[in-house]
Amino acid sequence: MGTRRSGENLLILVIDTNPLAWLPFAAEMDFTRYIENIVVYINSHLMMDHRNSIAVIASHVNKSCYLYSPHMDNWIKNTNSNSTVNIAKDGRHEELSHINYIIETRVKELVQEMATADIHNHVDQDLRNKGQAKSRILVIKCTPDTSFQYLPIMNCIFTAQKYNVPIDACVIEKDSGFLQQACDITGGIYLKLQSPSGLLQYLLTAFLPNQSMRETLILPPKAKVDYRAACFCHRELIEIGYICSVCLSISCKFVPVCPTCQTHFTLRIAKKKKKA
Amino acid sequence: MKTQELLTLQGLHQYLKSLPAIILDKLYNHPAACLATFRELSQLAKHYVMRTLFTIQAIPTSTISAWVNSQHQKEHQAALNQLTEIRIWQSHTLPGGMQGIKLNESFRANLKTALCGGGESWYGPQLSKADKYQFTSEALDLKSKERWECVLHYLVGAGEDLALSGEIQSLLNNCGLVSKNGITAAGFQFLLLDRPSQVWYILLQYLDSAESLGMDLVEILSFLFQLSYSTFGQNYSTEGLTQTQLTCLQHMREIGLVVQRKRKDMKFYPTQLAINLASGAKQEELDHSKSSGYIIVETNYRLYAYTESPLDIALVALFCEMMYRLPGLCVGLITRESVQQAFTNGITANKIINFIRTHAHPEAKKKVTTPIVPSTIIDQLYLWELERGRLSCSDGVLYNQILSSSDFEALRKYADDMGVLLWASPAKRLLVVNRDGHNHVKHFWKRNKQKD
Repeated sequence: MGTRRSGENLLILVIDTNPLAWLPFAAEMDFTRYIENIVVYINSHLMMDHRNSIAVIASHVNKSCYLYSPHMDNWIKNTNSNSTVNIAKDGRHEELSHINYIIETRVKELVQEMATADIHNHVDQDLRNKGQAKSRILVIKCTPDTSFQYLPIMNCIFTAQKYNVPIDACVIEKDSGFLQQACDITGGIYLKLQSPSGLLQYLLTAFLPNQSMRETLILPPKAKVDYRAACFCHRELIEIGYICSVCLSISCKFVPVCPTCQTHFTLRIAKKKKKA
Repeated sequence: MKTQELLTLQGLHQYLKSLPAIILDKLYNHPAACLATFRELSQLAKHYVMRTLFTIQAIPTSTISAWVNSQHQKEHQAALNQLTEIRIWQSHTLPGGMQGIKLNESFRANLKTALCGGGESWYGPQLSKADKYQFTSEALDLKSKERWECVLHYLVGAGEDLALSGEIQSLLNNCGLVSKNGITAAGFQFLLLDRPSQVWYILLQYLDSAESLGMDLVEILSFLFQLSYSTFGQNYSTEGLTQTQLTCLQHMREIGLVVQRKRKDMKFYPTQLAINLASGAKQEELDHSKSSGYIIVETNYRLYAYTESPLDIALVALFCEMMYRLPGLCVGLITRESVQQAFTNGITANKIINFIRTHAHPEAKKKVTTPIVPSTIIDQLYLWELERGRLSCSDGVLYNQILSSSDFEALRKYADDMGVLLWASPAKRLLVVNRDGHNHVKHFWKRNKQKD
């Protein structure tokens, strides 16, 4: 066949599994449906080419963990010695149902484990697979940003940019400044959905094409990015502020000790001016 | 000539294209078949299918062409053709009179099943149980390799053909790889293909002949696709297979795509050869199963083959004169006679050189300074091949008794311009024109005469 083989594509999917943040959308699509939608999207990605692979990371309340990674194929064998489990019970492709089983079980475990209700967004992007030539990251998120994680996220974005891994984002209802920046810097696609209904169709249309296909297809245009940073002390968007020279954290007023990295600042410029 | 064409024909898509519409529609009734067809599509076409998979109403053609950048319309057109050719997309007139496109309903339903689950299991309601005598993956590889080599042995006529049943033998005989005098040019070309391509080629031939054996093509195809998407090392139950599929299973067992302990055994294991057959998996996965090279050629025309496999020896013997057979080593001499013999069987010098290169002994590949095949050997092989081309025959028509030299010149010039002139002798006023050009030249001559 004359088609160009795109080679191996690794998709790292970061999904928001915070059931509390999902509450406002529950009327339109409950949490189970949301996970099902994502599972179908994962299956579609794997179906595109037999060399495609996937890693799923759940960003949960206060923690994040791998739901599935290519190294986890043996997981099922360790947890369940009954070998009949992974055989397709229905008309699904066996490989897919195997992966789906792992993901579903893990989500169940995770939701049951949940004890605290401390809501904050925890987007932890693990670039352990950065050696892969053609990987990309997709973040699906409905919880609002917290500036608490400004630094790890920014580090993540620049690492991704360095390794030429685009970060795509699909946010629901509320815009995320961090992800907007992430997509803009790494050349990914940013898409904001007004409501979660039709999530799967959006995912399939906008986020299924891999890097090589993106030149051909017309995809959502780049949105205007709000590059204003939020200050760390009051979480307000500011245009001019003070930046820590060590960890680059931002504050709207002068502080003697950096709240993030505890560096002590001495206002040398101010002193010099006084002498003169 | 037919076999030559068939050997270049590859890929599932071309095959599906040649099937009649009714069979295609029936084929899409099985999730595995839909999955296999889907994987064979081009990247763009795959995205098109995914985009329309969950859209029930028809989509206007203008919308679809707006999915693609204006500079990539060529790819768009190709993808569109690909999808309509095998009836995955069907044109549909929208209520407003606009041209629209709709996904084939049974294809949609079954691809959805493969993707999201639901429906019946591919292997019937019966779940397979753990096998007491579970085959290890090494054993499966070994068994399938053994069977497949039987097929290859039969092709090179290395004896042991008794291991193949009459049906498979006649299949091999019919597909033009072997003739009464032994292997044909197409057969040699076949042996040079990588393993997955070989399997695919044989299966295409099998499918072609299936109908004449009274087997249902759709059932066989869906069974094969099912095989190609099964898990390696897993046993499957024969329950729920139709009679045709059971016969097919036995044939596949014979060529090593499936391992079954006994004919009556209710369980079977698909092998590496069968898995990923239809998903476009090529060489890289099966490379490890290919044995490493074994041939060293020296400038004195001696060929050393470090092998004991009768198949490998038979292959080498196709173009060289075997001299000694030692444990683990065979020595042959490339002579003019032996090479000419190969040429008459339709094997070209290029094919021989390629064969030696691809099967070169690691020791021969090690030396960077010297080529794998010595240049004297390459030159000599080409020279021997040229010997056969000293005379070439072509049909033609002789024009003679042309009265004036000006007439002759006009005629010769016309034929030359047309590119149909084979030979001309101004002294004798003789002219030979090839068959195709004869009519034109004749008309030209008549017109010329009328003018006079």
